[in-house]
Amino acid sequence: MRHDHALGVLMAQRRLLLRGDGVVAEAVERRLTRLEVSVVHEEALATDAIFTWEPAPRTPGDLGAQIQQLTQSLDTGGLRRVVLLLSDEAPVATAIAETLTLYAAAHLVRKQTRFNMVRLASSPSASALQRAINTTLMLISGRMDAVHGQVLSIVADSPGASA
Amino acid sequence: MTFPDLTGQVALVTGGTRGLGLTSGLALGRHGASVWLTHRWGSAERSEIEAAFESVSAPRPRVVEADIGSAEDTERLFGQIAAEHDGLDLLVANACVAGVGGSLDALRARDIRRTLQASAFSLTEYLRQSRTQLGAAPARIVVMSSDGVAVHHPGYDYVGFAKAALEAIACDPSLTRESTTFLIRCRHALTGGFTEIFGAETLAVLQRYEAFAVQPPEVADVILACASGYLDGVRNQPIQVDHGAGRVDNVLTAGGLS
Repeated sequence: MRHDHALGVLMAQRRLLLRGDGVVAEAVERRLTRLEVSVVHEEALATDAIFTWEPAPRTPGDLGAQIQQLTQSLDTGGLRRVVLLLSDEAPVATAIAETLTLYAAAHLVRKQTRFNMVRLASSPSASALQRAINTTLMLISGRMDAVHGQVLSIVADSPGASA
Repeated sequence: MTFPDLTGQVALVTGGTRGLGLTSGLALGRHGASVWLTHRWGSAERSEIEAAFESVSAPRPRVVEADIGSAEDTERLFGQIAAEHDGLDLLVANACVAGVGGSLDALRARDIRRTLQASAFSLTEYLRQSRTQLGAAPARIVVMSSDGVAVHHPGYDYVGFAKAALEAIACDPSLTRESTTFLIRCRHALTGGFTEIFGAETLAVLQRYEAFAVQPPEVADVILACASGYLDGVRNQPIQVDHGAGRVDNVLTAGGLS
């Protein structure tokens, strides 16, 4: 990306918590490493966070655990910006995540925390995954702090324009 | 170093000499873009605008009197752009010419027609001139809209109609094949024209919920994000710029927030 270096400078002070174990989280981590953005593993040290629900939770127990982990981070941590990046592997998880975004955003309106969701199609192409990561980075960057409680869906390839 | 670095890019902001348009133009210029600002007759103080750009080390903007509802003005505007540039990287469709609504029986067909022509269908003329004189539609288009297309706001009838039409035109497949289009839906943007459109009583309500008031620089930041290319994956869908107001603005929830 044309602006990656400048974006890395903009995000130099961020300490990102990355929660997730699958291909999406790995792609995010690779990109953050290229941008030289610090990834931390302790929530107490993090300024911002990206959650990927991987593998997609499918049972009530798994869903409950994922929701609790995320909401506790939103409620008790000092996180400034949080993005839930989710591919549509499990329709129930996606549906709940969208409603969770709505409710969490409403609960957080009095706080500084910004919470948004980026939704990917299942089995995303490499380019779709990169566009999702770009959108996530923008939501974390501070450029979009007036955006809160949004579910943004990654669409098919762009018509010609590229960064 | 700034993010994004828009050096070498050309941006056109309609209604760019005041309010959200001017703030957005300044932000684009501060990040290196060559900025063209349009205005209607008599609504721009050129020296003040140039001074504002100079104060943030932005290239001097081109300020052009061009009524969005005038096909002649649009043709002349794009002729001027074509004389200096090979193409347009970004069009911010911001200008809106609309009256203040009221009761249903006060709506006039003539006013609705005039509003739609100037504030929505004028986009098609901009694109036609861009293709004709610059060889292509703008690479990216940011449509400045609002949640007034889906939610009632006092006095907003005409603007709501115009924004609904503008969004639909901008997302027409014939356009989105050529340009990457973004729909920015602002809500409670505190511009100088807020009271003019919504009235003092509505402003007083917003002041009770000041956490939801959106400041123009915040909107400009989102436009910069669109210009960067990093948001290309979320084109053709509303991006609500509202501090989350849309999530709590209902009778049962909002009562607990005041």
